[in-house]
Amino acid sequence: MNDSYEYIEAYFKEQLNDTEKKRFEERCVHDESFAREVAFFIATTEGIRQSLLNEKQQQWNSDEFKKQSASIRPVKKLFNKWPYMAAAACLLFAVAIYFFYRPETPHQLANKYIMEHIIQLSQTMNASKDSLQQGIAAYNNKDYKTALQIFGEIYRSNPQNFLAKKYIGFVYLAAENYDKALQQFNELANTAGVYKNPGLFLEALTLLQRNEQGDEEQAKQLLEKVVKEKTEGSREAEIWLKKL
Amino acid sequence: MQDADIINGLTGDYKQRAYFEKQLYLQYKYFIDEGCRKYQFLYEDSFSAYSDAVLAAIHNIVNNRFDNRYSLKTYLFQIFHNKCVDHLRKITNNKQQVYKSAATPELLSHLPEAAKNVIEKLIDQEKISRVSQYLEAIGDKCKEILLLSADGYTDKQIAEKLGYNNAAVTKTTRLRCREKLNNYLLRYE
Repeated sequence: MNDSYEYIEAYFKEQLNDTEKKRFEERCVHDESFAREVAFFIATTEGIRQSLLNEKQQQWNSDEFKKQSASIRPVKKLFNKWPYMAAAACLLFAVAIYFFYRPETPHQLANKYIMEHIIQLSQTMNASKDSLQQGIAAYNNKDYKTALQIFGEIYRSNPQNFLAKKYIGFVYLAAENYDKALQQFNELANTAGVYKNPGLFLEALTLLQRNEQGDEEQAKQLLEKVVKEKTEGSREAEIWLKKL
Repeated sequence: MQDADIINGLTGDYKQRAYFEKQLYLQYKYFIDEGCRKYQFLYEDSFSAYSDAVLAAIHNIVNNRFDNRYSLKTYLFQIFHNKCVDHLRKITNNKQQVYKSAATPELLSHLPEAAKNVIEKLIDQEKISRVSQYLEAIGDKCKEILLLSADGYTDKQIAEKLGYNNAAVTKTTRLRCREKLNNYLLRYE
């Protein structure tokens, strides 16, 4: 049974070469006994997947998860409150006009981004169980010393934890220790294997926030690279470049 | 949390995976409400479609099948939409009492059309529904190893998680467990 099982599993794990793959697919059509084995494999695998899904659903439907239902958007109610939406639209329009006549400086852009995306990090309920969550809790409470200690320990124990590395940079950035923040983000940017590496964008952001002589020019070069390489933050980078 | 953080978290250190699964689930949980509104689903049905979509997205990300041309939100919503349509079909078929239908097994989508048509006819839906019952019968350890494998964990990661000597030992144990489960299902035949 195991040979056949391993062969079928290898097909679905995409471990067969093109010739083997083609042969497998032909056997499914022309060899009834083999087709039955494949059907049995798929049925069993699907059954296991459904059991796994049941377990995940129980976990995701637990009271702890339900407490976090604040993230659900009250879509219907929004449509019933059109007068408020109209008022909000007017207000937004007024705000837009205000900002149109008062263009933001690069430093203001960076500061706004930091206030909106970096100064408070999202957190889950079971903060006590997870060291990363404990670090985030300390960070959100502006206890940067503790946050740095926790993120540092996580990163030292697992240098593949890029999120911890990024958060170390956030701590330095929030504590206005820009040189060290730049060092962290630079190291992150030079780390291979990080999906849509945010290092370059964060480096540029820190330079704009520090706002010393030459920082803006250097940030501009980094942002151009971010747009070109389509790494994390490329959308913001594109907008900012128009304003720099 | 940004897309890249979730994707790096899911594909990086497997010990952190549960945390990022939770983040992904919570980040787009409002899709459940959209399912209720758009398809007139009960909360339970929309929740079921959403959790199924999250699980499928996680497995595609972990197995490097995530198409990074899309944002995570667009990608997840597309899977969620497909699951909702599957569920609608299931409800409609049950109402018409044509046959007792079930969602199409995910592995079928790997096969080309000709092979898919043949195999689909041979799949026993009753067998799929019996698997959960027999998973209880094969013992906790076997059940755990099969669920972890189905969840996309490699033999090496399972070895570390469950304390086996190495990936080869895990693989042998996993195959034995699968055979045990198969024997139960074949006995039912």
